[in-house]
Amino acid sequence: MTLVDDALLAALGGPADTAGATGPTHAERTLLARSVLRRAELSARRAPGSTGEEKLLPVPDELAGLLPSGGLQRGTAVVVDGSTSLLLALLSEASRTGAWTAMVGFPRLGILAAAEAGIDLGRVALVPSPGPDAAAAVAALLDGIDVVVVGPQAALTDADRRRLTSRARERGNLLVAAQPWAGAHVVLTVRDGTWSGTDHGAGYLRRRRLTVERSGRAGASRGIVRQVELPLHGGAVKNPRQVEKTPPGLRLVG
Amino acid sequence: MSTEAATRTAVLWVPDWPVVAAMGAAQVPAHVPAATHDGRRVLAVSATARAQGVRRGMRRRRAQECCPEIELLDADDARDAREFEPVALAAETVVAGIEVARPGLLLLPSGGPARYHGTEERLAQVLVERVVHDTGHESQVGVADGILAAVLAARASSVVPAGGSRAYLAPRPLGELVHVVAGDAQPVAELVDLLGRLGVRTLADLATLPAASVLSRFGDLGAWAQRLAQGEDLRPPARRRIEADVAVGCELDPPAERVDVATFAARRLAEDLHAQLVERSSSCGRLRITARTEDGRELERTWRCDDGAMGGLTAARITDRVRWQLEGWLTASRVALGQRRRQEQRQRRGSPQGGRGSEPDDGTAHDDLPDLPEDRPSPLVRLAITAEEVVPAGVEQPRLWGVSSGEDARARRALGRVQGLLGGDGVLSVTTQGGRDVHDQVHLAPWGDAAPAPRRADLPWPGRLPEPAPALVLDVPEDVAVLDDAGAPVRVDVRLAMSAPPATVRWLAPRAGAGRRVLGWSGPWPLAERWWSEAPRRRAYLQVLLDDGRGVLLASAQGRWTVEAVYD
Repeated sequence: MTLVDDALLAALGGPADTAGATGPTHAERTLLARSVLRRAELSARRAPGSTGEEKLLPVPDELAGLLPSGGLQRGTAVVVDGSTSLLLALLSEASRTGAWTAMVGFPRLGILAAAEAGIDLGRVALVPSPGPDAAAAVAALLDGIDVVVVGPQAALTDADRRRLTSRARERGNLLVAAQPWAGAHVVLTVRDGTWSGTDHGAGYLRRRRLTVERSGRAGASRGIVRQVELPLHGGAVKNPRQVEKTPPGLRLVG
Repeated sequence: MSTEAATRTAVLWVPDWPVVAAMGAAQVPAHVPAATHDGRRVLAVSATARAQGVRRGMRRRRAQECCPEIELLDADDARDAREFEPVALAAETVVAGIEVARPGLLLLPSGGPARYHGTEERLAQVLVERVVHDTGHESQVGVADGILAAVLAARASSVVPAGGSRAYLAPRPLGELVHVVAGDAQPVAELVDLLGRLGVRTLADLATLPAASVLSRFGDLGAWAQRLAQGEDLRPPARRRIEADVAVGCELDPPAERVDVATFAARRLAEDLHAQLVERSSSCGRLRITARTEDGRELERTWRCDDGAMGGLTAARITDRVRWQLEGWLTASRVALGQRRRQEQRQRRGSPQGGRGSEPDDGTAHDDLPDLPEDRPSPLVRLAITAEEVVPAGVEQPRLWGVSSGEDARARRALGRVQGLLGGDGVLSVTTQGGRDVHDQVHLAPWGDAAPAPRRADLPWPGRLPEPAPALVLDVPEDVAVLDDAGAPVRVDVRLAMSAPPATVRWLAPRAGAGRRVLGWSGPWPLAERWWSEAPRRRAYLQVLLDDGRGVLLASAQGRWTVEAVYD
C-alpha cells in the first residue's frame, strides 16, 4: 500500500520544491493523491482506509468494544487469557483481510476451530514446538508475519518477552499471547464463561457466553467488563464445512 | 474446462489445406482440379474440383466420373503439418502465442492483438496479408467468442460482435460441428447423424437441451458438442509454451549413510541445477527430490518454491530443502514405513495426529521405540533434483491491489528463516480436509511441502463432530474417570446406552486432581470407522459441560474415558 502511495505522491508532487508559490501546496497535493488512491481502491473493491499510517488491524464488530481503539493496534502485545475461542475470533477479521498469522508453541490450538472462526488457513503457519529457540523463532517471525500468536509451549523468559515486545513495536507487527505476558498493552482475561446447547444428552454445545475483563496500559488502563457471545454471528465468518450447514442434533436413538 | 465468458478467439483458416499442401509438394498447378485420397475415399477437395462436383467422402471412381482430369494425391498428415509450419510462423510474427488446432487451422487469442492493431477487422487484414506475403497461401480469418463460432466465422471471413456468438450459431445445422474436430471426425459425424434422426437439427436445438440430459444420453462427446453449440470455449487458446523440466542427479558411491555426506552431494547438485536454471533464465514452481536407497526403494518428495523468480531460489536454499528432506529420510522420521506405521498406530490408538506426531510425546515415542531397528533406513545410492513447472523468469506478476504481494514475500522469507532455524518440519502449513474427528479433519505438512490433503473435504463424512469445533485439541488424550451420582464409573454399552448420567469428571494421573461437577452433557454418539480394515476404530463421544464453564469432548473406548479436546 505504501508503495503505491509513495509512487502517486512522487508522480503528483514530484516537483514540489521547484513549483514554489505558484503551484498547489504540498498538503494539497497530498490530499489530491490520497483522494485518487481512495478512488482507485474503491474501484478495485478494496476496503478503503488502510493508507500507510493506518495501524489498526480490524476485528469483528462484536469484539470492537473490547479494545481501546476498536481494533488491534499494530506494534503492541495483546494477551487473551482463558479462552482460545475468543483469541481466534479476535484474529479472524485481520486474517480475512489479508494478515499473515503464525502460531508459535501452540500445539493444542484447534485448527478446525480457527477455520470456523474465519481465519484464512492459507496464510497461517504453525511452529508447534520451537524448543529452546523459541525467542529466536518469534523474533524472526516478527520480521515478516503480521500477527504472531505465542502459545504456552514457547519457552520464554520475562526478558525475552520485553525484548520481543519492543521488536514488535519496531516492526509494527502484532504479538498475541495466550498466557500472561510481561509488558502487554491490552490484557483480556476471561472471568467467567458458560456454554449453552446441551440438554441432558440431547443437543450439542452451541454457543459460548463469556465475561471478559480488560486491563492494560495506556489507553486500556481503565478496566472494563464486557459480555461476549461466541461464535460470532457476523456474516463474514466463512463456513469451511459447506456440505452440512446445520449439523443434525445428536441424540440417543437406540 | 468451460469458462463462463468464452475467450474472444480469432481463427486463421486456410481452405482445403491438405489439398493445398499436397499440390504444393507435388507441384501441381493451381488451376488443375485436385483432391487427396486415402485409398478408399476422397478426404479433401480443391476449389476447382469442388466446382466440378467432387465432394468429400466420394470413392475414387465416382470422383473421376465427375471430373475426369482430377489429380488424386495421397493423404499424408506429416506433410500437411510440415507444410503448415511456415504459415504458423508467418502468423506468429503478427500475434505472439498461437495454437495450431490442426494443419490448416490456427487459434489465437484476439483480445490483446486486436487492441494493439486497433480493431479486429484490422487484425484479420494484417494476418491475411502477412500469410500471403510470406507463404503465398490464401487464408481467411474470423473472430468470435468461442472456438466454434470463430471457426465458422473464419469460413465466412467475418467478425461476430462480442456476445453475439450464440445468436450467430443458433440457426446453423448441427453438421457444422465437424469443422472444429481436430482428430478423427467419424464419431462426431455419427453423433450429428443420430441427433438429426432424433429431431435435433440445428445448433440452437442442441444448445437449449438440458445439459444433464445431454450428458447422460450422449456422454462426454454430447456434452462437448453442446458446450460448443452454446458458444462456450472448451479452453482458451494455449499461449504459453511448456518448458521441459530440468533434472540433475548423481550416483552416490560409496552409498551415503549420514546426512552430511548426502548433503555434500546435494550441494553440488543444487549448484548445478541453479546454474542450469540461470542459463535458461527460468524459474521453477516445484522442486522434486528423489532418492534411491540401497535396498531399491524410491523416495520422493515435492517442495513448492513459488515465492518468486530466481532471486528467491538460490543454490543455498535448494540445498536447504534437500538437506531437510535427507534428514527426514536418513534420521528422524523413518522412511515411508514410518509413515505407514504412524497411520496404523493412529488407527489402533485412536489418537491421530497429522504432522504433529513428530513431537516426542510420550505415547508415540514409547510405541515407536521397539520398532526402530527394523526401521533403520538404508543408505542412499542415488540422489536427484528435478525442477518442475519451469517458467521463464520474470513472468510472474505481482498484484497491484488487494493484499500486497510484497507482504506475502516478506512473510514467506520470515517463515523460510524460521525453517532454517528449526529444520524443515519446524514450520507447518495447514489445511482442512475430510474426516470425522477433530484430528482427522486437519492436514499438516511442512511449510513449502507440496503434499496434497489425502481426504476430500467436500464429501459428506456423516457422523462428524458438530460445529463449533473445540478450540483446544489435546495432542495426547488425557485419561479421566467419569462417575455418576453414586460415584460409580459411567459405562456406555454396545447399544449406546449410558449406565447412568455423568455427574463428575475426575482427571487421573499424571494430572490427578479433584473432580469437576458436570452441569450438562450431550451424546453419547458413536463413531465406528474403517470397520472393514484391520485397524477399526470404535468409540463413543460425549460432550460435557463442566462447572468451571468449559466444555470437554470425552471419548470412550473399551471402558476407558479420555479427554480429546476442550471447548474453552
